Amino acid sequence: MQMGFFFDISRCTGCYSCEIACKQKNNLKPNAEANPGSTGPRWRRVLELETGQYPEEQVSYVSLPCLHCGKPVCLEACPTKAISKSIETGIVNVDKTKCIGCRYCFWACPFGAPQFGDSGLMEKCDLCSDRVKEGKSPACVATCPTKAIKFGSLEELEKLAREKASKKLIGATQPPFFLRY
Amino acid sequence: MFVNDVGVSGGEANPVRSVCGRCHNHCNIDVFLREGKVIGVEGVQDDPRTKGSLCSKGLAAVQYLNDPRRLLYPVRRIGKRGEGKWKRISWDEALNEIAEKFNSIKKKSEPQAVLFCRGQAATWGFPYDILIRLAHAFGNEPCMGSSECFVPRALGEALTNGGFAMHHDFPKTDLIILWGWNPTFGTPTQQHFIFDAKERGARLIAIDPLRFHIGAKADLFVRIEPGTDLSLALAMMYVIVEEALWDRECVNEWTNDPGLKELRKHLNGNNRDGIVYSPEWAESITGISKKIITDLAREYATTKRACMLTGHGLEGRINVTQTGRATAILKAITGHFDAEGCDVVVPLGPPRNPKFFLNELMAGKHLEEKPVVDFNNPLLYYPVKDVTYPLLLAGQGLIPTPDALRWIDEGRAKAVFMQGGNPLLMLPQPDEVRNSFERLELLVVVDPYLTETAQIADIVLPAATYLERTEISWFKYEWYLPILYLRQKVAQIGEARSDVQIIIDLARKLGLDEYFPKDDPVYYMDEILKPTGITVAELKKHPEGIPYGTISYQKYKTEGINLPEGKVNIISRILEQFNFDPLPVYVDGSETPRRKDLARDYPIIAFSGRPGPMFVHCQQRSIPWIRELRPEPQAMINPKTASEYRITTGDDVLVESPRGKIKIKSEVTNKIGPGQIYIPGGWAQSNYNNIGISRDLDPISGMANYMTCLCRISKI
Repeated sequence: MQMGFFFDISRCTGCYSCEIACKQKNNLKPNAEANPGSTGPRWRRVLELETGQYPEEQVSYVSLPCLHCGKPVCLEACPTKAISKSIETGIVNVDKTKCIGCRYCFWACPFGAPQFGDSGLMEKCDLCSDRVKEGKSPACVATCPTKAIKFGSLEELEKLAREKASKKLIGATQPPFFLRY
Repeated sequence: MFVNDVGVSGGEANPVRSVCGRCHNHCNIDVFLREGKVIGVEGVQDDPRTKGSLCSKGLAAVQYLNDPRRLLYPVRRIGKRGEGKWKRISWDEALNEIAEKFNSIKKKSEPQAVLFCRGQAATWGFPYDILIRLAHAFGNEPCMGSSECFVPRALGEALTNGGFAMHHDFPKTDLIILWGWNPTFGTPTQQHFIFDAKERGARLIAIDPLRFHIGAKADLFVRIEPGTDLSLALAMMYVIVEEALWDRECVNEWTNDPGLKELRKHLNGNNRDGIVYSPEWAESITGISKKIITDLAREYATTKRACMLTGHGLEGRINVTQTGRATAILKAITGHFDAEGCDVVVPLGPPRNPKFFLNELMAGKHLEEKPVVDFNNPLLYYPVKDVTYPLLLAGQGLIPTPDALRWIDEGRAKAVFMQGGNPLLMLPQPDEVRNSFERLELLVVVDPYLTETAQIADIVLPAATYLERTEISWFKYEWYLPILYLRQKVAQIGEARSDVQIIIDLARKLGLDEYFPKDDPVYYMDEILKPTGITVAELKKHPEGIPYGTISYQKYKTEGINLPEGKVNIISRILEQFNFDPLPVYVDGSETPRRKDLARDYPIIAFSGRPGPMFVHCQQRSIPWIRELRPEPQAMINPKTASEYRITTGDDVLVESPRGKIKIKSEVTNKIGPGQIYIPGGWAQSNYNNIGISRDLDPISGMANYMTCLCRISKI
């Protein structure tokens, strides 16, 4: 099975709730105090995108986690085999005991998902495996005020995509990531 | 300090159901504890209002609770004002000293020499109510004391419709207009209703100077020059009246201007200035084309089920109350007031025991024996000596801030008790405000932090956060279910006490035992809830809350309207009685591009507003997760304007008004139109209020004109 995310750009208003929910759930250490202006690891990143010129400008928000790609290039790039992909869930995981902090994964990932905290080792979204096992939604999904973020198996996501006229993100890494705009 | 052991991974059985108190929107939360320590909060998954969601502000609760910058015990100033030298004192010492001083000031002069002020931090509801009780028991009216948002707009609505329709019937609506209101900031957890409506086919229209957040998702975005909303509202009214798009039944039977004869004359130039409030006229002021204005008016008037949500964007200007009046009139004449699929009146709080407020001590007798419900009661009026803005006092029961500041300057007010407000940051021209506050014999600030205002206080008392207090809670926004909930104490940090407890303790030290016979806040909560028959003990058994009212439509048809003539006041009889324009007359801001004398040297419109979805007013800047989302304030400038001044994103920009200057980093963006600069509010290091206008006040509410002015900009 392959688990993944669905993201509805037409509903995302850039409220940052998912990003903070993720930080709370994963106890991500902030960096603002040690180094004002910087940020600690962001397993979920809310980005503001602006296109077009005034007065016809368009403003959108995208919330990006690790996409748990079907063919994760981070895994291929890792020299210590610290990154693995679960056969049962398709979730891409990192083993911190093997990671040496070389950042090859970061250069390889087309989505900028790998994050690096104080330890210098790679860390990232694990699709809240522990919560999902208990029958809960990932923290970002549970808190999203516009219900823009959903998760599920590839089959569930494909069904949702058909209902919501959405598209699967096309990419060489085969991300199970569905977008609606 | 980083709080370890955070993170709700599941497995934490039986979270405590409570109510968030980070802002006035009061969402239900589940608080997760491990070995007695709060490890996280989440939205309540089966909550009908939030559908499990919680915003960034609420989700950072653990860092807020454990913030090492919090004040943990009472302190007394030992150095000069603002020097930052403090001595830790005990609660008894602090309260005794305050009580002694308050009583001696009262004895030497009058009870009105001590002002009991309130700010946002305590949040709407019981903490405000018990402050009224304390003030009345002491012999004074409570006081606003900080920025007067929301109330003047609510006043405009109440003067027209006898209530403020704060529940929006999203599931049944076909049109949602967000006017100067961005739910992503103020009510993020109810945004799902708006998108569900949109997916069902409802249209979303945003009227705002800035296209961002939910406004960027609108089907129609109407960009308006900041501060000119009244002009747009009057022109929309003009179209609706001239094209006869108004609701015959509603207007002829339920308003005091049947046939809209008076309104029509008024809009056609029979007004103080002789101006015809046509779309052509509004185009020249708002910058919105007359076609869009006309289409907008037509769409609103002809869509039977339409919501119009107005917000803080309509505030902080000289015409704020009349703007609130105008939007209320628009709702009334189109039949959208209190109707299905529209803006609906719900009781904005449980019916509260009128005796609790001790009004008779001030007014000499019970003025209002009926239970008290915010803004739904007829305007309560009894004259208070030397209050310049009696209608704000009447609508809200608060001495307006300008009067309070004047009383301090004139030496009439000698002491201030400031509950969770930070006027030294949030009022225009902070230096003037500082000068006023420095005159005081005693300034007491109750706050979780040593704010700018606390820095010049004599005694600062550490207020508990919402996770450290048990309190009845009802106030909400937007999806206003009339349900009473209980906020539960789940932590205790330092010696912090709840605002309510502090007020009770102080009252007892003041010798007001007759009105404050018990130490336990629960006694007072049960007292105030008497008309509902609900008690705190019962609320504890009902984590899902207990309803205190119902939601129904067009109640005016059976209950009438709580205003003179018993009808919707298109012509405001109350304003007439106080010698204000009974129909809204357009008053332009005191600094606009139409002021040719000023605009030559100050060609850019500067305006301010709420700082973003992650902050509440000036708060939360010290919460690391939150601060990382916005490490510093950035002023928005359109690329066209930026290129004229050779400014690129990240440059330091000097913004100068006739009153002051600030330095701020720039964000070059198309979200804003040319010729303007947007300065997010509540930032101490780049405070818009340094350039803002403190003088020209709304004559009805006394609200400061703190949102727009003219400026010039240059790259540093």
